[in-house]
Amino acid sequence: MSAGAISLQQLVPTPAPPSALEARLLRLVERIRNDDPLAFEELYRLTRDDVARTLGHLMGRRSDLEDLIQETYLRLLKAVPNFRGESQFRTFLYRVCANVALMHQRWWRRRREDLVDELPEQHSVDDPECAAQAAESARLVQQALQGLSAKKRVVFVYHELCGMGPEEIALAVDCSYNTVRSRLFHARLEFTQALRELVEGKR
Amino acid sequence: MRRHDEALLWQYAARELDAEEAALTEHHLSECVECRERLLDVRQARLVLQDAQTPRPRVQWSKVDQSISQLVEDRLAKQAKAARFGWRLPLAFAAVAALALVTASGALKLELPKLDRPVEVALAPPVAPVPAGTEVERALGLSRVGAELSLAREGERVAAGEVLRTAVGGRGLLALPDGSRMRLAGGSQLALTRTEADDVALTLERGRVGVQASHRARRGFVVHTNGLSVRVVGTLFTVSQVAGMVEVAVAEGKVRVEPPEGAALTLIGGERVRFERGGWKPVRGAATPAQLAELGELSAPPMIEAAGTPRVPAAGLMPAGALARRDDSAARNGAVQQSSQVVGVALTPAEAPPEQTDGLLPRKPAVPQGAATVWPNPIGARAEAAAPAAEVPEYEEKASVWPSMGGGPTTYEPRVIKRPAAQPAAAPPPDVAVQQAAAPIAGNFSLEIEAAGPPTASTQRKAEPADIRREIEAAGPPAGTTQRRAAEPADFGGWPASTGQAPAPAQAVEEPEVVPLTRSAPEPKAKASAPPKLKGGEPLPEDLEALFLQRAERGLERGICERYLMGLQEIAGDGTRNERSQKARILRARCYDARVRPDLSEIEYRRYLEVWPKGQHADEARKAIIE
Repeated sequence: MSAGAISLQQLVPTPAPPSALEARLLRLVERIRNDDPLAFEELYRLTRDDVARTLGHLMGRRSDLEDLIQETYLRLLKAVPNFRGESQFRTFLYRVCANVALMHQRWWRRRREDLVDELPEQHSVDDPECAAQAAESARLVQQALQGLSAKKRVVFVYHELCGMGPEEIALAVDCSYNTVRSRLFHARLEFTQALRELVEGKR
Repeated sequence: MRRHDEALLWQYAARELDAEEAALTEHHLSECVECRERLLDVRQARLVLQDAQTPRPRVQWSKVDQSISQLVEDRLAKQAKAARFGWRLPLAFAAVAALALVTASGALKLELPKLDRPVEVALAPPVAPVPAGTEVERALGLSRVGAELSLAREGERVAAGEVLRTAVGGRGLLALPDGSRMRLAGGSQLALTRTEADDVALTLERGRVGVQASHRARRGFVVHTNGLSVRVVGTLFTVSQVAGMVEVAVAEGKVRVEPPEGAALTLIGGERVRFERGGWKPVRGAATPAQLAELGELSAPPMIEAAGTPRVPAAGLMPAGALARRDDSAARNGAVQQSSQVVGVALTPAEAPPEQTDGLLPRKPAVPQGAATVWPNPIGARAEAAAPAAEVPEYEEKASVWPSMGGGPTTYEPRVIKRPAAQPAAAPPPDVAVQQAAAPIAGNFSLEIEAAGPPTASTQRKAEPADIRREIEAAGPPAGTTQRRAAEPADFGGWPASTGQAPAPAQAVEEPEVVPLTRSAPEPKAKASAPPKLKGGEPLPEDLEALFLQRAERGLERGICERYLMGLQEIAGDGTRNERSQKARILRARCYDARVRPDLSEIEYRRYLEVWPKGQHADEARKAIIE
């Protein structure tokens, strides 16, 4: 049986995010639409960790992550008036993140050889086992992801690292469900392959 | 499954296949060695991904926060500018209207500001009830330290005696009952020691407060901080205190700064004075553009409410409390905006000190008089001033808490609250019984004002800063709120409002484990082990980080602390947040302890002792290491 024959329901369904948070975010969005900058600040406070993590996954750990976050929020502020509630706000936010990541993808590809060295130590202060392991895993994942094309990477990261379902990803990257699924399957193969090579290369 | 298909293996590992396909795949796996190996690879990849989900990238949040704040500030400034321009014309009409109203009613004798003699108007007792407490106009991360409910909401009223705090990125815009407005910057804590229509005393415990004092005649408007007092003569100014260093900047008008030692200073618009820690030698300078810009936000007219009802600008024209308040009751929420563009009409209350009798304060007061006149702070009035605190809103927690992170929706229903004047139309009707109960207090209030009489309590006034200083010393540089609050009842004696102020479930009040800078007292520590729980859930932490700490602690109790380790590490590693870092470090240690990883927990305990050898958990850490 080929991957193409798998029906929609067979993929992990979109997990419902905490509805209260969503409601709160929607209220903030409404206030932002009414030109309330304080609401925007509050929105930022509520979502910034999520955005940082998502961008971290999408772009690798870069020294200019702060700028990217900033850019994301600038875009978000501009885009919020266009948000009509057709998706969850979280999805909308991921969409903005994906756009920022894709915009920077070309630049990123040009520099990715340097980037491996630039990865800042994540838990330099901390060396308990699990933290070190997590940092090591993150590094491996980032290296393995570098072989993926930008679009596949976005889909893969959103599904495997951010826990989004394919339908939600389809909304977030503005393409069809089938495209998401196909990108995801290819990305999985490439990722496993890249990881295998990385681990074997280490041995 | 008839052929090797890694994508399918991945789905199998992720349990994305239905039973039939899974069975087929298993069957294939039992026969195919290669696929079994591939499955191992896939499982490894998934594990690595799982591990990689948790770590958060290190971000210099201060940088991003700053740029976002800047963006927000710019927008606010733009709005304020636009709004100010837009308000000018209506304001002029409103002025005319208000004057007409006063003349027609004949209730008050009014003299135009042009005239050189102020009018006499009976001041106390007030005709209408004084708007209870201070209205929260805008709140972002603003919380009430002493009340049962910790998050302050817009439109809510905060009674005298309460302590307000802003989260590091938060801020609060508040309208005081005397028509003044203030802006509490992020990371600040302010006690509303006394908030009456004609007398305001604030105690800045840390951080920064900007004040736009109304031009209403009053007995006093004072901001105390770290033993220093800043007295107002109709003005726009800011006071900040960071770990003992006090700075006062004036944008408009004039204030008098009284350090606990040395001569008092008078600052006029555009001036600034700073007192370094440890001494009271004033360093004078010009107010910085940032300070002036911040105050610009205050001088802007109040924001328009979501309901679309602007706050009565005309109220700003009211010469005296009575009329203004009458207008108030008509207008919703009773925000008496004493616009600085309007010339205040001074009153001569029977017992007002001489300084005020000629106090026709123009917009940019030349204010020649009284620079040297010290306003003794009528401490006696303090008790009854805070009497409205008996009306501290009681809130019933309905559902769960902070709506983020899986908490349910939050609804708080004010059970008892606002005075009629302050009652927005949509609010639930006030509890009648309580209003009745409040009435004697109001009577008491006016009576005692008279009894307190002219400011004679200069000795007490001197004692007050000393008290504050003692507390600060006792608490160590950021003054412990808990101690401050503990001191207050003693200060005020057995005054009934104190019971109202600290509502019955006293243990729910402090929520120490999520509050930075209040943890120097030993008492919160005791609570840290048993987090206070309200009826329907738990107290509201002031921001997500505090929430995280709270959750981590609860996770520890439930034995699911691992997931919090990373976040705790981030908080613990950030030495700038001393209290929280301590907390985070100790939680990490306890978590490893609970997971029977003595090696790791010891590392955490040692790290704790390295950084905070005298921290509140130091004993615990030492004990753990010895064991």
